[in-house]
Amino acid sequence: MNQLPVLVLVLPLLVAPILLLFRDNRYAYNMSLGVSFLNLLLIISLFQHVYENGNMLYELGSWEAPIGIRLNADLLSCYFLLLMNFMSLICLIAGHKNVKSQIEDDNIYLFYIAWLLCNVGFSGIILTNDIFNLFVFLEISSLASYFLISQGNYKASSLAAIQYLFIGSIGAVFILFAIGILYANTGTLNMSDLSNKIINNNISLSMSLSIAMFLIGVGIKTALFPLHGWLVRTYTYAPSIIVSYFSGTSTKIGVYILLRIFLDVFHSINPLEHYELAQLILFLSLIGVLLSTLYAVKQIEVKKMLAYSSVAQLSYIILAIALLTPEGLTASLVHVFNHSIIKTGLFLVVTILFINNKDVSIDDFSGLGSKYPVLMSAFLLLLLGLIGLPLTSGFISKWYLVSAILQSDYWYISAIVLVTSFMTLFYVWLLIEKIYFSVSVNHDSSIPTISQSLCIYLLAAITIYLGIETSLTFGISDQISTNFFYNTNK
Amino acid sequence: MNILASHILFLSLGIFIINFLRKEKFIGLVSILISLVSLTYVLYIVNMQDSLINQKIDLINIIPGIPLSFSLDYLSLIFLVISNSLWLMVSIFSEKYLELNKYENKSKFYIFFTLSMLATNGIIYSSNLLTTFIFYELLTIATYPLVTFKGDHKSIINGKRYLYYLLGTSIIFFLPAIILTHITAGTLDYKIGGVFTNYNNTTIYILVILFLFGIAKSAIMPFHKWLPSAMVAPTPVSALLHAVAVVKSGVFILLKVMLFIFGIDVLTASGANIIIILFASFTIIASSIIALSKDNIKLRLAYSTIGQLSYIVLATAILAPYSILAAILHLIFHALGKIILFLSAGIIATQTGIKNVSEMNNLSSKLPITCLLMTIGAIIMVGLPPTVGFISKWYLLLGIVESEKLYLLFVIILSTLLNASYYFPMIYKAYFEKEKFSYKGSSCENMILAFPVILIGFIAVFIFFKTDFIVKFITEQII
Amino acid sequence: MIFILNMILFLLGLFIIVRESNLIKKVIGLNIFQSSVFIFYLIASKVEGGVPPILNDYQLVYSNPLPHVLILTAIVVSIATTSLALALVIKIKQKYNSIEENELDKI
Repeated sequence: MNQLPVLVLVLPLLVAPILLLFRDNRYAYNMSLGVSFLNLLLIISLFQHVYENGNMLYELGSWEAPIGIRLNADLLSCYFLLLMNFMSLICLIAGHKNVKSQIEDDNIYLFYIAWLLCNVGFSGIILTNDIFNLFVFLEISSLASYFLISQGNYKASSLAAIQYLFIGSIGAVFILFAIGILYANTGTLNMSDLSNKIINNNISLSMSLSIAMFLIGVGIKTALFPLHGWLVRTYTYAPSIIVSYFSGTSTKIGVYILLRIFLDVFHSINPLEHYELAQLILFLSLIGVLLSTLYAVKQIEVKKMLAYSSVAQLSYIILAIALLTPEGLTASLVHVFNHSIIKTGLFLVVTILFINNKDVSIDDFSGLGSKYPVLMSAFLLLLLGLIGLPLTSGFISKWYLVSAILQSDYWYISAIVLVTSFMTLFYVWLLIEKIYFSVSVNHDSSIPTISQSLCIYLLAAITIYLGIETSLTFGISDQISTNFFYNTNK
Repeated sequence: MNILASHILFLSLGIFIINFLRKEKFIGLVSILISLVSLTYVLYIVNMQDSLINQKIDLINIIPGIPLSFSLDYLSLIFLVISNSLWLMVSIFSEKYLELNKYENKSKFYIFFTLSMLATNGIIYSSNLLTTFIFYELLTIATYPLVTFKGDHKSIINGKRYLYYLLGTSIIFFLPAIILTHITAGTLDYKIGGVFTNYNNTTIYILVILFLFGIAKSAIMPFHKWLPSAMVAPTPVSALLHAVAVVKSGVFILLKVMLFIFGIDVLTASGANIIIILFASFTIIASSIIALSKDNIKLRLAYSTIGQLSYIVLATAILAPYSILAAILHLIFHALGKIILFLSAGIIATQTGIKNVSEMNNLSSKLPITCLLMTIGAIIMVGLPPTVGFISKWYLLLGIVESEKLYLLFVIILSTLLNASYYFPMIYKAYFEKEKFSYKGSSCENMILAFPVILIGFIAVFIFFKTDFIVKFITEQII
Repeated sequence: MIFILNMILFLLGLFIIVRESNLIKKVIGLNIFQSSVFIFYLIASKVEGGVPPILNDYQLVYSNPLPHVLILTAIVVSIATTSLALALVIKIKQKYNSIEENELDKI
């Protein structure tokens, strides 16, 4: 039982080189599917254990912390872990047909290996309790994602991949530098130990530099304005299935790193409050929300529209964190979960229906309401969740978000959040009108297989379920933020 | 299980049944049956009212501390009876109307119609603001496919405007109003005397504005444009939904918010009701002026509705016992009168193809009964005796005098004159003007179509003699 | 003093990545950028009078081996990144027949 944290990491890591030896595409798919499913089961049992008994530690190689590397599975980690692996599994199942047709045949097994490694990277970032280990896993997932993005069948995929590589590496190097400064100041790399050693009294100049470096590095990863330009460009040229996968995972991992470093490691200093960084982040994310919503409304290409929408929603999440209240943290965590499910579902529908299209315009959705009635009603539910209609999970996130903002007395921020939320209606409704009211029917779409449709139905059903029964999202998030702010159980 | 919840569940079951019914012939019949059973539920509830009043039942806990919950009070009881009984009439009307106008896709119509009535009943039964909000949004979404039912370009554009106005105001104004109420007062339940224990005037002002604009279904200007846009819908939709269910829900919620969230004392003490009075008065006059310029019958009726709704809002905002009585009476009577007018307009359009007032010359020779009904409806709207419209206006005037806001007398008199000047031409033209155009369609009235309207007309006239009973009921139980 | 030189190297690397249009030069810039951080670690971990950390009886001041290990890991990461970048450059050259970014942006 106490091997669970390391099993989650090690199992895919073992499978990856085996797949490399075998070089068989179908075998690669089946094995990745199997190991992801097994992983999900392990994570669910880990989650249950941590929920009942408190956080679980595992020392790698039996070296005691702070000398050795330790894995720490607390409630926050389990929450993110469940989300990442569930999204990975869904995208694997729903995307197989796409992978077979979009990726070159020789590379399919490499594709799945890279997918597994990316997932290992994410899980590692979430589980580790050692800050340098965080950097290593961050680079593992980044390298895998650079490869995954370059596999798109656009001419510009390699270019987008290399541009993402440069920006991602810059961000990672900033984080590495910041880690170095932390180590030089405190002599330890273990995150729990760091948070004990960094005390409020004297923040030396080098520590301020470290905080600034972390902010930039994390800002790049979470697409905080003005470091957000890479996200839409990259997602435009990646394979559609990868965009679906990343929209639910890669964007949220930056949020996790932000939370771990700024709220956990730097807990005593509370640098966000101390340097008024919170105000800066608040302001930047507000601009990010406005700009990306405005861009999204103007888009004709559906994937770009959804990508801009993702940037806006991500900025909502960062905004909620920057409020520095327990309610804000709860709201952001709830929205992380809800938004991942909704966005992945939306991207998956686009992926499934338009396998061969490179650019999916709104017109491509013409008349699909009559062709795929059940799938389109699931799509409609997901879109309503994006708008935030009651009884969907989007409404729950919006309620907590606006509630947290109003409780901090930022009435103008809540006004902007609500107006931009209304503006999502503009681009969503263009899609819905085309789907249901268009006279011409687009016959170029591919017919979804049963497993693909089932994935979409599952995601839509979860959106409704989480709109009514919120103990998974809200209950856990509430507990996490109480732990963070009142420091009871770390 | 609690009967209110089972009523809602029954309606959802009804939607499922219609969905799976393949034979188009039976759909209309099943829908009439569903509305009949719904009315039976309501009558049973009326019978059992003493045991049900003010018993709250919590259903699902969506947000911790704010459950989805239902309860019944006397105001809800009145609205419940009106909406469900009128639904039955309109179901009978729609069956024939859809057939005569050769609309296809009847199942879609009836599914969303039933869903809209489910949402309306949900709003009636709600006992806190969150439940109200959920059903309010559901009502918007359920009526959208009905507004865009014809599927042509005009319907889609108007449907989009309808949706943007309603969803936009509810997202930007209504939602923060609810959340702010929750933060300030700690609860969202409707309580007699209001929920605010300690407050400051600024918060109350902000909340009043947010609620006033947020509940755009009550069509206060400047967020009223959705109502004329909704007139592209088929007539049963315009009649039931946009004369009774949707708009009355809006006013109903606004009434409940004013009386049971803010409470009379808070509103008078802070003076925030002046804001509502100003906007409502403006809306009354402006909508009446605009109605004068509209030639299309349904548009003229739509702007008349906007004005009449603001009467109700104005009456409540005056906060005098007589005016609140007037508000509730007008809620009932305007529903009756407006539905007669809309259904008559539907009959006229179906049988003769006339859509504009200027074409109504000598209509009484072709459709005598319909014109008579239209006359009754118009007189109710203008508020002349011996119709019920006069009674609500009378109490409104009493309420104004009681509250000493005498400048409002001017508003009421001016608007009544304006109302007369856009209603009477319709009647005059129908009876006294020479025929200008020739009419298409059969020359005798379709009795099945006219029957429900005649029934409502009878009720409207009959109630005039029974109003003291209603007045006594309202004054005893509510005020 | 040496920290300042190190920061100059850091900024230099960053400048090269942003400013240069040839992709290979950008990769070189990335390497310089990453190396500057490695050097920072090494500078920060210098122990005056330290000997290699092999247990013996005379000396008690050992050099700290941990930063060196960290750098080794980071160098491996850097190599992987560089090789991936170069593979991508080759692919871009195959597709576009050019590796100058200002030309690539126009295509």
